[in-house]
Amino acid sequence: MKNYLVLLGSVVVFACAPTQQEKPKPAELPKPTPQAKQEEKKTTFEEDIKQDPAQKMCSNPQGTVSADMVAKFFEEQKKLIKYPPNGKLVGDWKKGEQLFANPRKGNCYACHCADPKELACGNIGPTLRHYGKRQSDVKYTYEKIYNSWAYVPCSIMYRAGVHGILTPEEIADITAYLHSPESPVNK
Amino acid sequence: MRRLWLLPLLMGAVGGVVFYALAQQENPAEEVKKQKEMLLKEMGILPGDVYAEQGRDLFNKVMGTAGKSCSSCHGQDGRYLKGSYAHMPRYYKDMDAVADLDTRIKYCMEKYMGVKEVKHDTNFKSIATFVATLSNGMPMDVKLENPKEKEMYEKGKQLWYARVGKMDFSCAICHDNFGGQRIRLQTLARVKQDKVATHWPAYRFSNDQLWTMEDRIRGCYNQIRVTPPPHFHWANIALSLYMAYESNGGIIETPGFVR
Repeated sequence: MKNYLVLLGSVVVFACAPTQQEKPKPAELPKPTPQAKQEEKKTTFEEDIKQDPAQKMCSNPQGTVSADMVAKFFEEQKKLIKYPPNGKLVGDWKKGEQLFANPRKGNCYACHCADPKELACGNIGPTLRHYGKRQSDVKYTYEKIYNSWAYVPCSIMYRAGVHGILTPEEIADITAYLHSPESPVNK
Repeated sequence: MRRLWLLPLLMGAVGGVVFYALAQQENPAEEVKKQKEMLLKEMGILPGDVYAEQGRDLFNKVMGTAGKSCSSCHGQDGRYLKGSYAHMPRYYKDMDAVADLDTRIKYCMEKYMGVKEVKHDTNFKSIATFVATLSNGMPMDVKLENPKEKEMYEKGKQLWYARVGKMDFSCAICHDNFGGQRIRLQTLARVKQDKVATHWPAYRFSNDQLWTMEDRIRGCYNQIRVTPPPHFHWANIALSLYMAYESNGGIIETPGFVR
């Protein structure tokens, strides 16, 4: 008898939960392949917390570098930026749309809102809604995504290009997604 | 396992509640409050408290080759452990090391009870949670008196501010600078301002799991794409000590109830 009550209780609680029909579904997260997972697991914690010189400079309670070091810091960070071999900083915005949303790639929605259809967007970074209408400098956009620390010392925005999370071509695609008048970001 | 029969019922309720919350997409603080109220209304008890009760049973149960239970030394229902969690992590003379809740329990089980290969599983976490509840209502009061405690605190502080890994993150950048803001729909805890160490171990309703602070730290590292330190690793102890010390004065209320 007790068991029946337990079952009934569960069913009732489930049935009472309202449906989610009226809300748009968040984008399906592509699962990393087993191989990719294995590759990531190879490193240890000790290896992973080794810092590069810039990370070391940023590891303080102030969260930035001292004023007299800023110019040097920017210079070092600018040097790390590489460009696509074909020289095109603006790629395919449709590819960029995927890369922008993909949590294993750009994962941009973690911190930025952009396409109004995506409701699950963070508010740590500024909204990128209508970005292309207020920013015309594509080189700035490309470089900022490649290495945000070339513009803001120790920014929370990770250096996607420097760490190889995104290739130069992929960054060009995201740049296109942000600038193209066709892109949902600017519609 | 007095209240084990409650679990299926709880799981059903939790499923329903989580689903409800997703459909609502409301203010996170409100969401937590509402979830808690709903669970309490339906069940009269929160899942975390069920785990703590299980922990009490295990605490009094003989395990290992020495024929002892935790209560053989610490008293029935741990009556000699009241308030102990308020001073943890701390230095232990018999270990000649600083230990957090998890590491200390593992050491006791292995050294004094003769339990082989202690696993960081639900039973283990239930015991940890029960021990923490023995300090409920008391202010967190971690002291850095022993040199090893000071050293461990410094290591924790260093890790807290260290920008590491492919995402260039540190604990601080999310939990100091941007605490209270959202990654996607997840609100970032303000670890120091809100003295969050006072409500761990905690029950997480988003994945229906009991987590200790070690699990929380490992989860964070995983999210910033850094291979997490294994359980009982010094990094867990160092960060736990840092956060507990920064939470001094906050009233301990475990198990916490978090998203």
